[in-house]
Amino acid sequence: MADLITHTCVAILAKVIPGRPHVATFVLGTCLPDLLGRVPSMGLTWLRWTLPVIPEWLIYVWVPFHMPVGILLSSFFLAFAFPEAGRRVVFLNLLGGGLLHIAVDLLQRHFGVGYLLFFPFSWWDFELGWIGSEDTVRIVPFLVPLTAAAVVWRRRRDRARKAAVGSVHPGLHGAGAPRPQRPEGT
Amino acid sequence: MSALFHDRGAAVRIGVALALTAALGGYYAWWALQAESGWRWAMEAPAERDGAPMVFPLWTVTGVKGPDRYEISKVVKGVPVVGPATDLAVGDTVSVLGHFDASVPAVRVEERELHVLRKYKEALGILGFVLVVVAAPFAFRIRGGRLVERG
Repeated sequence: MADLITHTCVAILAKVIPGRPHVATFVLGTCLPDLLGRVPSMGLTWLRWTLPVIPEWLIYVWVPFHMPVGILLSSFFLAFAFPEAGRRVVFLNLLGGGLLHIAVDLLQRHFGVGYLLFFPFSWWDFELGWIGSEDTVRIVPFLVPLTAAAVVWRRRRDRARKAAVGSVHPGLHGAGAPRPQRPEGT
Repeated sequence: MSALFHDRGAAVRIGVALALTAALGGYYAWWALQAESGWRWAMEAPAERDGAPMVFPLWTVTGVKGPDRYEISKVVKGVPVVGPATDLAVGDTVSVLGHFDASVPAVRVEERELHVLRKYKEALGILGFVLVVVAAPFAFRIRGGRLVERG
């Protein structure tokens, strides 16, 4: 897995550059595979060295959260934490973020093992192996300022667009501006 | 598809999703525990499994016993390894590719990678986790018992 800073930056860039909405939900989705699938496993593995009473199976049960089918299911049930209106969009953003996470992880190279993309239907494992498993550490110092710059660029662009719309239609966004009336019968 | 996301009958759908998730976790754990590979499997019948290939991706060095002996741990603690250890220290992360040598018994290294940047990556992981937790209230609010994205 790449680190959470890299995943978060990539998710923000994927949303901010094309100017798509629901950035926070998408970023949450991209963090979920690690938060649900890796953090408990790693924590329990470490704890088990001093507390051998922790059963081994408890370390493994979290792993499917870091696989496409687990991401699909977790995105589904987490979407119910959001209001009914727009829940489908929330689900798609959580799922999209999670799949982007897997896509970024697939770039890495590990000794002997890849990612089980089709679990539980197949044990075939795969990774592209284009970067080493720690290479994101070298990328982060460039990725963080790039992401910050993209966010600033998007905000300025959106502000300029709103100002341009306001100058063509003065009062459209102003306080107390009359709302356009829908003609009868439409 | 949107019918899947209605409040009506949500408890059943959430229950099914959670049950499927639990089944997936259970299936994966069952597979991992009975897999016919790894140190524990080899030690169940050392003579039979002598020479079996072994892979240990991203394991922690938990002991250096000499210039060519060390121990690694992850889910299993203290797997003995025979291979160059002069550049290793306790706490390092290594990936080991080798085979089971029943005469020692130990893992005899064929290929090893020392992950020198692992500590930094773990630190970035923890920092990212903290940032996610800190940023969450700025990105979401709770309204009517539900999460709502701000902005």
